[in-house]
Formats: sequence, structure tokens, C-alpha cells
Amino acid sequence: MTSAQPGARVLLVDDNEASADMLRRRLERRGFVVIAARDGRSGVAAAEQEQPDLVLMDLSLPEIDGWQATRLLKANPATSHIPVVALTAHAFLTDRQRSLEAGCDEFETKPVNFDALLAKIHAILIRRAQHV
Amino acid sequence: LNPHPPALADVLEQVPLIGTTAGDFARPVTPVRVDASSDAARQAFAADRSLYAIPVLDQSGRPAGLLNRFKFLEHLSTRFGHALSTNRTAGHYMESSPLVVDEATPIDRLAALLANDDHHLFDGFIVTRDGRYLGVGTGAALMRALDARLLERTRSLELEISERRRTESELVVAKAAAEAASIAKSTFLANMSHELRTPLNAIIGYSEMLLEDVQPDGPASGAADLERIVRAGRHLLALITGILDLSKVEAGRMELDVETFDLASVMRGTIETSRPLALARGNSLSVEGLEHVGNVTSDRTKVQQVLLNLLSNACKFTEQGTVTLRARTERVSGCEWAVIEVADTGVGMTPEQCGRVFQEFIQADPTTTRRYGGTGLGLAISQRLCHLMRGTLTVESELGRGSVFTVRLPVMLGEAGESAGATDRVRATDALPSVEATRPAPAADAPSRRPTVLVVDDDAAALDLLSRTLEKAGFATVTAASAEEGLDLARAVRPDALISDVLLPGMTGWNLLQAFKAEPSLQEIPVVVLSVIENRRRSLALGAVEHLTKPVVSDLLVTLLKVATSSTRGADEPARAPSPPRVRVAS
Repeated sequence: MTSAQPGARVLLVDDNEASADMLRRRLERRGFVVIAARDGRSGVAAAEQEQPDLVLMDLSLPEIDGWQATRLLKANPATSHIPVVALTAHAFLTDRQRSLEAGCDEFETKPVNFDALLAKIHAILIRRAQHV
Repeated sequence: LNPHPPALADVLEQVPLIGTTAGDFARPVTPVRVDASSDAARQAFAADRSLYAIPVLDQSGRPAGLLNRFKFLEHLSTRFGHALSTNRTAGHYMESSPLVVDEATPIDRLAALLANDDHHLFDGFIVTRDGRYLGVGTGAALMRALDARLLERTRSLELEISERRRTESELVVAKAAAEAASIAKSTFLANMSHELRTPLNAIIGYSEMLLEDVQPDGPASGAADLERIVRAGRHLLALITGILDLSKVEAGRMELDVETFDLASVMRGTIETSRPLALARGNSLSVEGLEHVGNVTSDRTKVQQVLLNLLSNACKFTEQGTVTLRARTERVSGCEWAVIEVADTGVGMTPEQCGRVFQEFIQADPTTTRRYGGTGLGLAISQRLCHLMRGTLTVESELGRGSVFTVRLPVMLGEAGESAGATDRVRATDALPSVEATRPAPAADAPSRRPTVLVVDDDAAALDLLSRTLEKAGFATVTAASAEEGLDLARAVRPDALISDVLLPGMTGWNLLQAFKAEPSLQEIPVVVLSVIENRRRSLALGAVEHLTKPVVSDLLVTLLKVATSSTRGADEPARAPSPPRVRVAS
């Protein structure tokens, strides 16, 4: 398995403790720097302050949900360029459509297929690097 | 709630109508003889002011005429009229051709007769029974009756209208309730799916993480146990999806994900998964006839789910016995069928229990749930899935001897007239096909084979660079300079993945992609499109796994290809570094 670009910074917005902890540790093992937020509002704030390379966004979140948080991120010029990957246990086809409509760039379901998620993250980061 | 309001005729039938026949108007007025003195009639009219007509009968008692009150009194009021009345007979004054009707004459007919040219509505009429005098009636009474009847009809119509309005509003309420129930059910299913997937995410994720830490070959490493947790977690995930699918089957919205796969390897996989359950009850598991079955074009996940359900069912109801998974093929009316039996030596069932066993939430015996556990959904789901795949699931059993469940599936689902393949796949995987959904079927000799990538590009330098990069990363490559050549090569080599440029001489890369998706033997092969053209949407819509813009970053491409070419079986096992592959480059 290939490793991440060194030090790529990922903002993980997830209110589920086990899920957030597990994903943070697995991503850190692959060389990512993980910034964690536990609700939609602090996720949006963290994205603006920390300027991560990518956001992994759970959708059912307290304060404001992931769909709304994504809309805010995409509407704000300071954060609109940051790719957002919806990462959710909402696994229906309509959930995928809804999250893409909200502005998410990609959609992955929980339970996470970690290799597929990594491939997606790589694809996004590399595509972005090409355009910058 | 009565969805069928009564017809108007039925309502009228039930309303008691006043005066439906002439008989109802017959007032038994004492008649006078035609030759009797008219003075008797004068006295009768004087005595009863409500009397309007007196019948006059002939010698044989038949109606001869009618004395109408007003006409008779008119005669009496003439000069000497009163005095003359005592000398003249009733026959002298009577109307000699009154309306005479039988008592059974319907009211409508009676009204029509009274209103015609020969009679006047205010004249009376004589009612007879079998030709003999019965009584007299008057137009006024008839009018009152008709009026009352009209009133009744109006009332019953109003009743019917309000009944219909009530039914209609009840239907509106019922429809709203049904819609609300349907929404509530969908919401419940979505919530349940979410709530089950969330903890499962932690279970699978943590155990995969632990698996990365342990030495796979260490004696007491626990790697095998962790693998079981991961496998069970994934199985549970598949079941959750399956139950949701069952509700989709009911709603007629179930989609088939048709691919060509090796049935024997699916059977082996299900046997492995079921082994712990078999061992727990001291059962031995055996598999027979794998050599008789080859590739099958059907829905792999659903076949797997059916077999797992049947095996788990067999293991559950058998103790210290044998569970056998048996395969063969049959040719019936020109169609080839894969026949898979799951036979056990367990408790068995009575014929009556066999008849019920595929119903939802019903197990062979009410005490079963207590004793053996389970949801009672497994066999119902399995049978529906088999039907969906144009197949059948049947059972034969003998109490105390064991049961044999038999699955029959068409070897080529497409042959059954099903629109299998590309269209289903596009629908099932949405506009953004995930890597997961487009995994290829593993080849029969998967463990020893290295993934082969077919590279199609008309630029020789690019072709060379790409194939060298891929070989270095552990793939075997075959190359073609045109789409046509690539298609021929693909049919011959059956690569594990295709990388194609879009701009090619003749057929474009997109044409090639479409050709792949249209051909059953190639449609499962993941395709990555490379191009200087930015048209990711089109590539993905046509079924590509990914669209990359040139110049391609090799790291990304390699990662993508590794994910895309790892088989489903591979994904059930922990990720391990691929061993160096054999390089095959066709010039």
C-alpha cells in the first residue's frame, strides 16, 4: 500500500467517538496529520482556521449536520476549494445523491472500506496537486 | 371503510315507496248500481266531504262508470237539478268511460294514463282486481304519492351523495395514512441501517487495525481470530444490506448486480465462513461436485447470501451430524441450470412444516426460536432472492432424518430475457461507480495469478512508459495501439483491468469502454480512462472506475489499479503486500 503524501492534513468531522478515534489512528499510521472536530459547527470553523487539504465529513452531526456544514464550506471563499468526502452510515442511493447535491466531492459509506477510502483520498489530493 | 359505494338503483330499492301501484290508491267506496236512484249518490257526497268519486257498477258487478263529485254537483245545481236527481238513475249522471285499471298497474303507467287526452288528471279512476271492482282512486292522491316518492328519491340521492363524500374523504384520509406509513417505514429502514452500520464501522475498523499489528504467522498471534471478526463483521454488513433488500424486493425496487463469476469458489468461500458454526455443534461440513460447475452469470452477492443462509440453517438444526454442499448442472428445455443442494442429517421437518418454512418470520416450530435462535427471515429472503435471479428454492425433508434444500439458478441469467449487465450495473452503482462496486470476479486460479493490465494508447512512448511503471509496481501488462486491437486482445487475455486513452485512431477509448460494458465476459473488468480531455463525468457515466487526466501521476494510478484488481475474496482478507508478479508484455 502506498503511503500518503507526507504530512497531508485531513480534517475529520465525526461525532461518533469510536469511529473518529479509529479513523484518526488509521489515517495517522498512513502518514496523515489528522485534525478532529466533533460537530458540524466546529468542523466548519476548523476548516477555515486550519485550512486542511481535505475534509472527511460525517453527515449526522450535532449543532449543524454534515450536509449543511458542507454547504457552508462550499459557500465560503476561504474554504470552497477544500475537497469534502462524505463519510457516512447513511448508505442509501438517495443519501449519496443528497450529499453530492450539498457539495460533497466524494461519498464513502460506513463501515469504511479503508483501502477504497485511501485510494479516493489519494486521487483527490493528487488531482488537486496537479491543478495548483 | 367501504371502497365501493352502493349504486343508485340499490339505494332506491331499499327506500320504501308510497303507492307504487294503482292498488295502493284504491279507496273502498261503496258503489252504486247503474239503475239505482242518483239520490243515494247525492246523500253519500253530502255525508263525506272528502269523497270525490263513486263507482257505478252494471248488473254483473262490473265497472260501468264513475260519478265525479264536482260534475255531479254541477248537474244538481242546474234548474230543477236537485228535484230531478231523485227521478233519474245514477247511470244518467255517470261518466261512462272512466279510467279503469288493474290494481297491479304501476304508478308511472297510471300517471301517464290519467294525463292522456281521454282523461283528466282530476278525474277519478276505478281500480279492479281480476276485472271486479276493488275501489276508486283520485288524481290528487296520485299526485301526493308521486310527490312523496320524488321526495324519497331526492332524500336517497342526498344520502348517497353524502355517503360518497364521506367515502371519498375516508379514502383521502386512508391514502394519506398509507403514504405516511410508507414514509415512516422507509425512514425506519434508513435509520435502522444507519444505526447498525455505525457500531459495525468500529468493529470492522478496529479489528482491521489490530490485524495490521499482529504477525500473521505467529503461533498465538490471534490473527486468525481477528480475521474471523472482520469476516463476521462484513457478513453482518451483508445481512443488513440483505434485509433492506428484502423490503426493496417487496417494493419492486430490487436491483440485480449481474456479473460472471466462478461458482465453485463462491461455494468454497461459504463453506469456510460456515465452518465455525458447524464445528460449534459438532457437525462435519463437506462439499461435493465442485468440478461440475464453472462460471455462472448471476448476482454473486445474492448467490453467496442464499448459500450462507442455507448452510447456517442446516448447521443450526443439525447436531453431531453432516452438512453437505453439493453442486451439479442440468440442462432443461435448452437452458443450463446450476443446481446446488444443502443437505443435512438434522432434525428434519414434517410435510406440514415444509409447507410453511419459506414464510417470513415462521420457523418450523414455535419453540424453534427459543431453542435455535434466528430471525426466521433467512429462508424467506433466500427464496425471494432465488426467484429474483429467475431460479427456485425448494425443500424436501423427513422428520428425524434431515432436510435437503435445493437451489436452481440459470447459469446465464441474461438468457432468461433479463436486461442483465451494463444497464443494471450503471443503475446499481449510480453516477459515481465506486471501486468497490466494480470489482472483477476472481479467476479460478486467482491465488497464483498476478493481475494483468491491458493498456491501450496510440502514443508508443506513453504506452511504453505506462507499462514499465505498472510492471515495476507489480502488474503484468499487455498493450495495444488501437481500441479495435485492444478489444481483440481483451477477449483473448481477459485482463484484470483496462487502461485506455480516449483519443485513438478509429474507435475512441469511450467506444472501447462501451464495448467492454456490453460484453458479458468483459463487463466486469474495471476500466480506467486516461485522457488529455477533461470529461470525467462522461467516463464515469459509461462505467469507468476512474478518469485521469494526462500527464498521469503513477502513484495514483497504481493505487487505483491495486484496489480495482483486488478481488472480493481478497478484500475479505487482510491487506498484504503483493508478491512480485510475473511480467507479461505483448509486443
